[in-house]
Amino acid sequence: MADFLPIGLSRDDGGVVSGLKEITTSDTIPENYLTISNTDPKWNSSALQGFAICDTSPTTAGTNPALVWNGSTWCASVITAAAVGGGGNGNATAINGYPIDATAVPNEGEVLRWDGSVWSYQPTATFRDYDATSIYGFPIDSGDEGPGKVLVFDGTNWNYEPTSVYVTPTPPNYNATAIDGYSVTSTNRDAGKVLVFDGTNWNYEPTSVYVAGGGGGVTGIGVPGEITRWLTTTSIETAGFSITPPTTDGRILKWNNSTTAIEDLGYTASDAQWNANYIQGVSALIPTEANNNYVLTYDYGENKLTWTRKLSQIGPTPLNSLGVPQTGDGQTGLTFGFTIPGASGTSATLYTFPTSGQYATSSFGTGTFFVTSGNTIVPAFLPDSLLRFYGAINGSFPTKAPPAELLKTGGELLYYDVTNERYTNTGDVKTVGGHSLTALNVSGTATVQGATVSATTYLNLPSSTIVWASANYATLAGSATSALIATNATSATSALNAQQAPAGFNVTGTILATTVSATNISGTTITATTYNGLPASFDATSIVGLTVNPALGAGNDGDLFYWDGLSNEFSTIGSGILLSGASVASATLAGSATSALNAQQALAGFNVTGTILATAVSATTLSATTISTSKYPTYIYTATGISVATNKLMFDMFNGTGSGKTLKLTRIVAYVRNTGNITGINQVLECYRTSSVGTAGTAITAGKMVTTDPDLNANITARNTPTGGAAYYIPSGILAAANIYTEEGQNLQERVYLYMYDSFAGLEECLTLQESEGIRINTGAVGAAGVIAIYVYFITV
Amino acid sequence: MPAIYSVTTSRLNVSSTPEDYLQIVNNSGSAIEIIEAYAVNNPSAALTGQSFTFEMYRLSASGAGTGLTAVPFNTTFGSCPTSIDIEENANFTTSGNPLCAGNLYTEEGANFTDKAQMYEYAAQMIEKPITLLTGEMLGITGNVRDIPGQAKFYLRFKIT
Repeated sequence: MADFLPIGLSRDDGGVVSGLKEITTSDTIPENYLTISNTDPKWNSSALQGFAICDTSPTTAGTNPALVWNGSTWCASVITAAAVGGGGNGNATAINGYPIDATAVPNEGEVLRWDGSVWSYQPTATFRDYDATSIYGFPIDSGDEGPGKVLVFDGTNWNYEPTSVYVTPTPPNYNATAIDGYSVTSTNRDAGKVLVFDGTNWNYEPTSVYVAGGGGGVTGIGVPGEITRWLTTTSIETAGFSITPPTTDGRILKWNNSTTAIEDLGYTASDAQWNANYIQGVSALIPTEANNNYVLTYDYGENKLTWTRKLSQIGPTPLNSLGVPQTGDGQTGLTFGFTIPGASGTSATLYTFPTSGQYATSSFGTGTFFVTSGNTIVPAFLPDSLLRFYGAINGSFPTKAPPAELLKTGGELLYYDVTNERYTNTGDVKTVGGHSLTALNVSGTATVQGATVSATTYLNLPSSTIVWASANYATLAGSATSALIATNATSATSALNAQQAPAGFNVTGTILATTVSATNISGTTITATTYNGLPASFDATSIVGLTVNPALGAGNDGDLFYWDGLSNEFSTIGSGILLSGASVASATLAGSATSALNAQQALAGFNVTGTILATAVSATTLSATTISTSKYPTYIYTATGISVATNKLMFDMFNGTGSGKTLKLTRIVAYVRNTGNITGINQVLECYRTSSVGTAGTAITAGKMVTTDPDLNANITARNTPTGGAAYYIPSGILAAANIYTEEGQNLQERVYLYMYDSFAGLEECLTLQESEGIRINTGAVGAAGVIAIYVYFITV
Repeated sequence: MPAIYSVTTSRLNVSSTPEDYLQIVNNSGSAIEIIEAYAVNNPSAALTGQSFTFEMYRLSASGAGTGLTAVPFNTTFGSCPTSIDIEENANFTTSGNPLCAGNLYTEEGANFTDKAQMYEYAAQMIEKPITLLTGEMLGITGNVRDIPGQAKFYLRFKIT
């Protein structure tokens, strides 16, 4: 095929055609040349900009095809919705791959708005709806919006803050929440309060000048910094306490500490009730005195104020205006308000005191008494202690002073101490003239005698010295040895009760007591109204030192009194015979007893109409309507689903060492337990004793006849079809056996017993398994069909 | 005074549904001691019988069936307390291994003349009987195999 080159005319710079030239891509070809070329049938490009164009006739592509880039070539194709990624009617469901909300119908004026997941139709945004959450990228803090607020930028956020220029329409609504930048606390806003600045906030506080209810303003009461206010017409409040003004003029206020209030005392200064009870701690109860010239004096002994006749004046100068006597030796014309005893009239002369010696004024001590001697007043000197004597005193006046310190115990008496020639006090007393003596302790080496002697405690009383007029009540303690109480009275009419006499005491008379409690009581005759609740006839709690059953009550006819060795006490036999621990066989009693017997020997037998309660009863003949015996915990081992085979170890149980129990078997039973129809066989089941426990197989859990019985010891076990162990006990032998027929079609009407203990005969011993013993059940050499079960009842003793 | 009672079911099919023949629930406050339990063949028509197994279990849950009335062995005992609930055909739930069991042949033409013994309190001098304390229950069931025939089940017990 010839190779054609595109050729054009070349021109020189003057536009003159100079020759032919191959047209290359670097040449510029006038457009009109191309237009002419496009009509050329040879103008049939196979590529656009280097990308291939399908060699397919556009007429085969359908109506109005267009060149469509399919990823590898330009091909003629009809444009479809799928081709452009939208509906055929221009109904795009997505924009740039993001879905358009297909559930909504657009309304006029709505625009599509991307909400993060779908393009949805939304009204055209207006200024009101524009809900910016930030300005210039800084977030707006929402939640504090309010009328009049402006947004204030704090460097991070735009915050709603009150504007300082916002004014509500009417002045009353002006509602500043701060003054000069400090918050106004809105609480406690009550009438009459004023705003007080506390350094941080403005607070509503009571005003000290507020006047309400007709009262007056009160200031200056309380402590610095507090506000005193007049609350109502009846109280003033400051610092937390109130003042209740009296309603009567002249009333005195008092402080009530419990209510922290100042209250009306209820008295005026002129009231008779205004009467202090104490003056400097001294009782100020003053007796009535109607005479003149009495003065109040302090009576040190009585510790009270009392009226005393007034000395009008002492010395040549009367009492001055302040009541201070004008002193001086040898004063005359002392005038008293009363007639001077031993003198004449009311005037006397003060003794002229020497300047030295006993009567010198310098020797006067505080408290010196002055007495009158005629019409002269002289000083009197008294002993250290003041003694008062009433009535005549035999003998000489005591020449010695009493002890410096006299014990002043209530009830003590003063007596004359001849040895020391003085009066002193003592606890030892003597009563005369039938007077009673009441003392905590009375002791004497001679005789203590009184019409009535009573004391809480009597100590060291020689029996020979006690004369009991009547012994009312005494508690004896101490070192009483024997005849503590030797009374010459024929009887004590009341009681000696709760005595404490370690060595005991003898009573030669009669003790009449409601209750006597003692370790031992001996006497020729002992009678009492009550002997500790025992029958009045005789009610000993012991006989020859042995206890009598304290529960014994009234006896019944025929009751026997016997020694109960088990309870170690004497008791009686009533309607039943208590044979606890006793054996009838060892009893000795001839004849018969129709009521009750214990530990008796009845050679000819006896009848018992009651109940015999015994651990063991042994008799040649024993008959009773009911014989009940002790029952032992009873268990069952059940092995079910044992397939019958020849020479098979079907079951074993074993009483292992350490069980602490002996097993007594009462029944060994087998029964057919097929699970389907079979052709049965007659198989033998034989029971042997074993000397070792079976191994493998399926362990069996024992059932209990009574669920509250104890669980079996872990050393007592059983197995269904063990495969080893269960060694035959030597010497070996069959203990029990039976045949069982395993076909359901035979006349099998009953389970089969390998063994059953006949307890009623009373002659048999159970099949017993001691520790380290067991049993096993084997089949015979012929017959292998069917399924059976085996169960064993046994007790543990 | 202990009182002894006996209770008997009606003629029951020994197999298929239900197979729980007799149920006794003790809420009397006293203990119940089982003295004897057995079954007696009692077919309603001639049949070719088979031997079947019936067993007694303690129950973990009682069922609802038809109530039965126990009769006293001495009229002075009075009626059996209603707090002892005895029912037949109750669908109960067993617990543990059988306490006793028996086999019964259900054909009227079979050569037997004895009742099918299940339990008898035998060694009474030393042994304790199967005992139902208050709150306990037991039942007789035959759920081992499907057997034709009918029988009645008997239970004799003592309220201590």
